[in-house]
Amino acid sequence: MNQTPPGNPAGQVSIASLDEAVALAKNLKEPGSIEQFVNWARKHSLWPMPFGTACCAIEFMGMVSSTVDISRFGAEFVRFSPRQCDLMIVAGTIVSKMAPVLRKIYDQMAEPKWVISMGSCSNTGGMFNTYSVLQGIDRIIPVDYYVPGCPPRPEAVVYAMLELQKQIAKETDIMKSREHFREAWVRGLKARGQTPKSQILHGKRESL
Amino acid sequence: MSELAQKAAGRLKSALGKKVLEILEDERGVVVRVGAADILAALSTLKADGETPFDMLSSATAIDWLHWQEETGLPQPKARFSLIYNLYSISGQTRIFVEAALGDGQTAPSAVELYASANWAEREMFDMFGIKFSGHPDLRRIYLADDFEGHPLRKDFPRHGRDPQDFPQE
Repeated sequence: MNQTPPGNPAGQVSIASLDEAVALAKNLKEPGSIEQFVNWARKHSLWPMPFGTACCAIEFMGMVSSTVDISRFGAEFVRFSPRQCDLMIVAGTIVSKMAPVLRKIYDQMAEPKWVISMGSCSNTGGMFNTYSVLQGIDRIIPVDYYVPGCPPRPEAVVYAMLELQKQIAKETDIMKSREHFREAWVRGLKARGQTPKSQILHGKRESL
Repeated sequence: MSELAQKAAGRLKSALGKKVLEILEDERGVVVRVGAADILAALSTLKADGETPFDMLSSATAIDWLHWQEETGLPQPKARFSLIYNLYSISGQTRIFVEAALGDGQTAPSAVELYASANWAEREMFDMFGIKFSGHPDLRRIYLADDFEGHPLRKDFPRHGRDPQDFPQE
């Protein structure tokens, strides 16, 4: 097979995102272009932190392996240390005993950080409508994207990641570590008549 | 298989006499009913049995009989809880069940001295039913968080837990 992308001279590979960066780098003197450049760098180097506690984590393996392969979108390294990651993918049921651990690992991640909630259990508790399961991880951490499914297909999570990349590209306040996002999360919880679990937020346990 | 267990139950009856309240056979196999105070006597006799020593405690669990009659129409047991010890004889390859009735708030004797596996089983019973075991070396919750309130396998525990924020009342 000797296919060349249309409009390209033979033998020359076009990487669309790299072309974008070169175009951005040429206009760095224009206002707002630094933000655009930083956003470009951030969205193409999302390092996922897998927080896999149930069967969704098995689908997550499918995302990383060759068929779907999220490294095509810059999420090359799945790191198991929160300090090296900026995208937390919560894949699985979070029981109330696990909730402080989840919060602690979220707190250990460096800014800026994003969260994808993968699957019904982490979205809403799913079918585990019972005393021991946290009814949605958004009670303790802010979530950027919810992926429905039980479990979702890897493509669905990749779609969420691509949507997240679009969102990152729109970020205007790159130095303020997305504090506005967390404030909006607390406002959203209050609108639903809920409060974030305050003691969990401060690293102390509280019955959930 | 159950002949071995039946014979062992017969030997238990002759050793303990009136302490053995009932010997029956149901879908589980051979079941020996004793009083809560005689659990250790029954377990140690079965463990030291000459022909089929029941040397392994494969599980120990409890049943809460609250609302049993209302929900099933079957006769209501007098005591609130049943303790059930599932013993296995490795050499005889047979099982026997020891059952004891236990009232609410009553303390049961711990079998940890006899069977090491009773340690976690009794902690689970404490966690889920709130049954206390005297003589247990480390009686604290095993599955749920240490500050969890209530014992969820008790029939009067709300199915959804206690937080109205997470579980709007039906």
